[in-house]
Amino acid sequence: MDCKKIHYFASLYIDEMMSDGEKIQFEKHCEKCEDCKTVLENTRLMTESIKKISDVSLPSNFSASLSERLRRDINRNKVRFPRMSRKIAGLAATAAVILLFVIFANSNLFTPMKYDESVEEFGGDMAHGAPSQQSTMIAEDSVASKESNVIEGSSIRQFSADTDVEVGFAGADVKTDELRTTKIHTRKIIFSGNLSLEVDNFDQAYNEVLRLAEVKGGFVQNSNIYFYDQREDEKFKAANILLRIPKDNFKLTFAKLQDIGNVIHQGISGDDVTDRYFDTEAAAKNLEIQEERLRKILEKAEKIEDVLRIENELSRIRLQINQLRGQLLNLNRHIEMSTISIDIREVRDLTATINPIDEGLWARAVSSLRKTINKLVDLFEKLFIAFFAALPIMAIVIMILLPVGIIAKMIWKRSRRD
Amino acid sequence: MRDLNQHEISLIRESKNGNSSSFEELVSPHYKKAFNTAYRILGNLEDANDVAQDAIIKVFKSIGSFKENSSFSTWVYKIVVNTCIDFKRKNKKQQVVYLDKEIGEKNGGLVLEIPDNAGTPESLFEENEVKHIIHYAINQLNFEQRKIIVLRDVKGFSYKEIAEILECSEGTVKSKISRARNNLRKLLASKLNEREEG
Repeated sequence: MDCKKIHYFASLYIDEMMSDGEKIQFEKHCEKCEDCKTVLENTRLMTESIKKISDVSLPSNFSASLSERLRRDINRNKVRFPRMSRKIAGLAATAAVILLFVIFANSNLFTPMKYDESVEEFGGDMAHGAPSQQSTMIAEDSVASKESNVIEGSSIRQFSADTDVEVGFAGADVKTDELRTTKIHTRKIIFSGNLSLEVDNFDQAYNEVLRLAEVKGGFVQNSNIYFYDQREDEKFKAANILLRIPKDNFKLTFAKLQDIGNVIHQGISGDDVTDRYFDTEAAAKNLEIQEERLRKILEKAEKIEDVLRIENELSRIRLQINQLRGQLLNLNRHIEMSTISIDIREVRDLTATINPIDEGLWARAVSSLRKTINKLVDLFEKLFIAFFAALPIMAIVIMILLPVGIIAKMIWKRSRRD
Repeated sequence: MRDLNQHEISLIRESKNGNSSSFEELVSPHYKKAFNTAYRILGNLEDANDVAQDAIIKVFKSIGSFKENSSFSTWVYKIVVNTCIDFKRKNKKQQVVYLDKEIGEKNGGLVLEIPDNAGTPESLFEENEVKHIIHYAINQLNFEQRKIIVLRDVKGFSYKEIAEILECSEGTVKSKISRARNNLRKLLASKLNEREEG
C-alpha cells in the first residue's frame, strides 16, 4: 500500500467502501505506519465532528412564504403558455428561421452570380445598349442633315437608319475642322465579338449558327471544321466560324448564339474609328477638289508639256483618291457588318455516359433519385453560402434583438419578483 | 430511500397535475434538509433561504419530468445543489461579502452566520467551539470541495446518491471525497494551530 494515497484509502475505510481484502491490507499497513495511522485517526475525528454539526432550524416564515410563492407561480402558469405549446412555439421559430434561410439561399440577393445568370445579365445589358446605338445613328443622320441644310429636329428621325453618311458629304466643299465639329455627334464604331461554346451535338449547333447568320442578314466569312480529339470509338468535332452580321442585328444575334451551347468564353469589343474615318474622308474630299481644279486647268492648257504634267498629276491624285475611298469603303463595311468569331467544341454529354442506354423504369427511378440528390447537394451548398452571406445581416439583427431581449428579460424578472 | 411508497406516488401524480397542497405535503419533509444543505454549501443563512425556496419552486415546476422509478429525495437534493451552483455562478460578487465576514470573525465579531446557540449547556461549549471552527474551515474550502463535504459528511448522503446528485461516477465521487477531506484536514490543522498559538 502506498503512503501517498493514504488519504484516499482512509476516506474509503471510514465510509466502509472497501472490500474485505483491501480493508485487511489497509489495517495491516496502519499498524506498521505511524504517519498513516495519524492521518486516518485525524480524518475519522474530523468526519465525526462534522456529523455532529447540528442542523440549523428553518426560518420561521419558510413554509409560509414558500407556499405563497408556489400559489403565485401556479397563477402565473395559468396565464402563461402551457409548456407544450411553448415547445411548439420554439419549434415554429426554428422552422421559420430555416425557411428564411432557404428563401435567402434561393433568392438572387444571396446567391452568388451563377455563370448563366451573368450571361443573361450581359444579354440584358446589350438590350440596353441598343437604344444608344440607335441614337448614334440618329446623330449620324444629323450630320447628313447639317450638310444638306435640312432643318434639325424631329424631322431628322424621318431619315432612314440606313442613310449613307457619304450622301451628306457629296458635292460639298468640306473642310477638316468643319468635319471635326460634326463628328462629335457621330461615332464610327466597329463591333466585334467572340464566343466559345461547348455543345453536345456539333452538327445541330453548327447548322443553327449558319441559320442564324442567314436569318439576321449576315454571312459566314470563314469556317473551319476539324476533329480535335479522337478516342477509341469517338471523334469530337470543333469549328471556328467567322460571321459577319449587320451592326443593327449584332447584339441580338450575339445573345442568340449564346443559347446554342454552354458558353465557355465570350466577349465583345467596340473599336472607335471615328477619327480615322473622318480624317480619311476629309483627305479624300480635298483630293477630289484638287482633282476638279486640275481638270479645269487641263482644259485651259495649251502646251503639250503642260498637258502631260497635269495628266501625270491627275493620275497620281486619282490613285490616292482611290486608295482613300477604298479604305473608307473597307471601314464602312466593317462598321456596317460586325464580326462575330465563334469557337464550337463538341463535348460528350456527361449524363449520357452515366445513364444506361435503355431507359427503363428502374433507370428512370435511379436518374430521378440522382437528380434529387444533386438538388439536395446544391441546396446545401446554397445554404452554406447563404449562411455566410447572411452573417452580416444576422449580426445586425442580433445587435438589435439582443438588447430588446435583455430588456424584456429584465422586465419579466422584475415582474416575477414582485 | 430509493423506493417510493404508494402514498408518495399518488402525491407526485397529484403534484404533476398542479396541486400545490399535495406538493407541499410531498416536499415539506425535505425542507429542513434542503435548507441546511444550501446553508452549508453557501455558508449564509439569507442566501440559503432564497436558494432553498427557489429550488423547491424549481422542483414543483419540473415535477412533470420526474421519473417515478427513481429516488424522489435524491432528485430534490440534486435540484437544490444545482440551484446552489447557479446561485454561486450568478452572484460571484457576493464572495466579497464573505471575505468581509471572515475578517469580522478574526476581530471577534462573528454573529451573523452562526446558528442560534441560546440554551446550549455550558458543558457543550468546548464542542461547540470545535463545530464553529469546522464550519469556517468548510467555508474556506473551494466551492467544489465544500459541496462534496456537505453532501457526504454533513448531510450523510451515500456515495451512490452523491454520484446521482452530482451526475458523475462513483469512482469520481470516491476521489473527490478523499481529496476534499484531505484539504479540510489540512485547513483544520492550520486553524487549530493558529488558535493554540493565538
